[in-house]
Amino acid sequence: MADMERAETYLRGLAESELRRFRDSASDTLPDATARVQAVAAAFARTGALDPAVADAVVDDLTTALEMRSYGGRQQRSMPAQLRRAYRTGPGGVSPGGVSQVSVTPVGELLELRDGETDMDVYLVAAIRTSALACLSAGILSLPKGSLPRRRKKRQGLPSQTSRVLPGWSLPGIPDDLRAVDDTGRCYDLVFNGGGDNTWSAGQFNLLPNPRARQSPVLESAVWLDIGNDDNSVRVDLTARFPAIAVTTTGNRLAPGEQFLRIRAEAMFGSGSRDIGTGLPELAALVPALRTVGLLPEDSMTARLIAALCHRYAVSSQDIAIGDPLAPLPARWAGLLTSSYDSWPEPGSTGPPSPAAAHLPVMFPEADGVATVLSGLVTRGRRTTVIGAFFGAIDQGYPEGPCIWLRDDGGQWHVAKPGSWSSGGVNIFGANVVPPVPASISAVDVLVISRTADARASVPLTWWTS
Amino acid sequence: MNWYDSLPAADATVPCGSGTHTVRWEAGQLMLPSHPDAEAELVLGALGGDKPACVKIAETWTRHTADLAVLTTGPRCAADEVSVGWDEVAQQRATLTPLTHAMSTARLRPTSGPAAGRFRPVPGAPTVPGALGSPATLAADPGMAETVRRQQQRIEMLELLALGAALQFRLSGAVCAAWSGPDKADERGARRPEFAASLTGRFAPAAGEWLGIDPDAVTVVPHEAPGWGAMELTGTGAGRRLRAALPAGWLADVWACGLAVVSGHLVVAVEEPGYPQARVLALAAPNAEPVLVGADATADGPAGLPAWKLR
Repeated sequence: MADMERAETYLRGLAESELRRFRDSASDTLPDATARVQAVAAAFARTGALDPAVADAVVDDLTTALEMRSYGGRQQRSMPAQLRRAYRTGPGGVSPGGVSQVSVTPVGELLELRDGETDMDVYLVAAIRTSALACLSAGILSLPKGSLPRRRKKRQGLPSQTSRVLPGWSLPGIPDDLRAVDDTGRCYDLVFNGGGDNTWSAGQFNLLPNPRARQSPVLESAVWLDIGNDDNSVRVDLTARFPAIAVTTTGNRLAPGEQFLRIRAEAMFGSGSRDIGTGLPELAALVPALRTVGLLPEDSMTARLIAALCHRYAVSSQDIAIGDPLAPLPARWAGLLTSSYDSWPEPGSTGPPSPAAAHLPVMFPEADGVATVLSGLVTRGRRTTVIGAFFGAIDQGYPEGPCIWLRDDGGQWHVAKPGSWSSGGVNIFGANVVPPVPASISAVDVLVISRTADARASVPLTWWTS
Repeated sequence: MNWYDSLPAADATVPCGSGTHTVRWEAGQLMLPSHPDAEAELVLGALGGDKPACVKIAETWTRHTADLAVLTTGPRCAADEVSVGWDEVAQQRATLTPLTHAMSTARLRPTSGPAAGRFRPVPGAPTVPGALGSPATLAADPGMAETVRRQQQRIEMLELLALGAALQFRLSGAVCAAWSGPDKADERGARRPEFAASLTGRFAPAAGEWLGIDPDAVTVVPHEAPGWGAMELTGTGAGRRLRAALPAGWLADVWACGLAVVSGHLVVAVEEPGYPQARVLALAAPNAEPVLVGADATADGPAGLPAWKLR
């Protein structure tokens, strides 16, 4: 049991130190100056070392004090309310109620659209369905008119539609007229969430009933679904099933402070755009904080690993016992930090890279209140995206995971960096996979790390392309 | 004898009506020389008339004379300049949500600390209008009420800080004095971490000036036993650590009066407050015994505080 007075004293003392640092530095921004206090406040609140309301109050007090010193010169005068808290719960929060209520259906269809201002190929990978939500993971290639030949037999387009649920919703490089009709005659609009560069985008289409239906089950009893626009369509068999993928879950039995530090360290690799995020100083600040309140042992392995990372990135780690020699980094961290994926596409390749998609149908059981479901991988050149969903309450920005790692059959580790959000009570994500996964890979081991448990699954990959 | 006896009067200017008025702090009180009958103006305001800005600021001052938030936002040392202009205050007030503005008009009470319950809504003042901001709504959503309370408190704090450095230190002293009496020991005990931070945040820069030590290497814990407290310096070079135990009253008696470091000595207590002459307990070195010595205010120092010299 942590000493809450000790924790609050430590946190307030750290806030005083950060205030002094801000006063003496002309370059610190308000978010910079609050980052370490926020990280420690979250650590104390999450591990039970401090009442979350007190943790929030300390962050809020510091933010106010910094604001008062920002008037009349510094660039940012006030912090949004959500930045005044130790942590921020993102959208979603719907409990999975067991992943048995979630299904992933293989789709594996290519929808060729040649009737618009650009040629588009829509790779429909898989459908994630619950009683209240359906979405299709997808990759979309958009090239100038005439660039993409028609390779498949064109089907009849879908019946004309008078209006859309979200009129005017349009994104560059994404078809804005896609819809679906199921075998019962119900109609849906497909609304895209994801990211890309206008040429290649990856993410998911949410199926929104059109006309709107309140609390109506989506695709609950449908057998098939036609997806397309006025010009072309594909039919998806909703009764198709993947072979079951075995998942092994192992609890880590670590102390609460060690668990928190470990998941924060893993999540750092899942943030940012390149090798690791920029949160190493904040991560390092957690070590003395958790030790002070007795939640982290002196010989903490995670602390040694963080010290090794600090050494590697020349980040001050004076409050962490580094140990001698430096702790070797886990293979997945080291593999990521030494990979040079800038060389993609592979040497010898010519011309623009072709997209490819593979099913990745894994449902991981709930851990720490969150269940993770993966549906597919889409890849093109240097960009690979894994698409899936988190069911359960997750903090904005995934600071505590779950963290998804892939190890390909060549032994290379890849980390998923979730970047997109969705609505509908579920956090559907399209995560950038770093380094990218080439279509030559035939299997991956998936590792999902949560605070208290690790889950593993081996998945064969069958790629399909145009 | 009072803690504020070691401070001279100080003035600040407040935009009031179509002009600018002076408000004066003297002997622990905020006075309004331009409003000789402030009580009458208060009553008129409660009945729907315009309340002068000077009167409003005096009310705000009174509401916060025991508010520990003053210590979390206010200055830590003379070099810690918290410069807020009245234009900034007006700008922030203009951005208030209607709900918060309504709460401001209705006067939220402090929810904790010695000031809780001291402040009462002015009879006849408007209540919070509309369903969203109704007391019932706020009662049903404590989170919203707390958010509104904190937003309003931030605006009021801005107003108080806009009075300038001299009054910032004097208000901080009033807050510390309100909490430092022996009758407040239990309440202080319940908020020990806040006092530890307030003491450390203000003592550390003084220790840096006194010993050249890194302020991050200084920690202070509240001292509740008889006597001035204790101090221990350990380590050498960059490894030096200074640990001190000081009573909350040090903040009012010593720090708020500009007496923390005088003539190369650290003042740990004021035996006889006074201006321009006081008698203080001062340390020449961390492990030395404090000596009783006279201090003279020789000139106006930074932040509207006197510059002192030991005899």
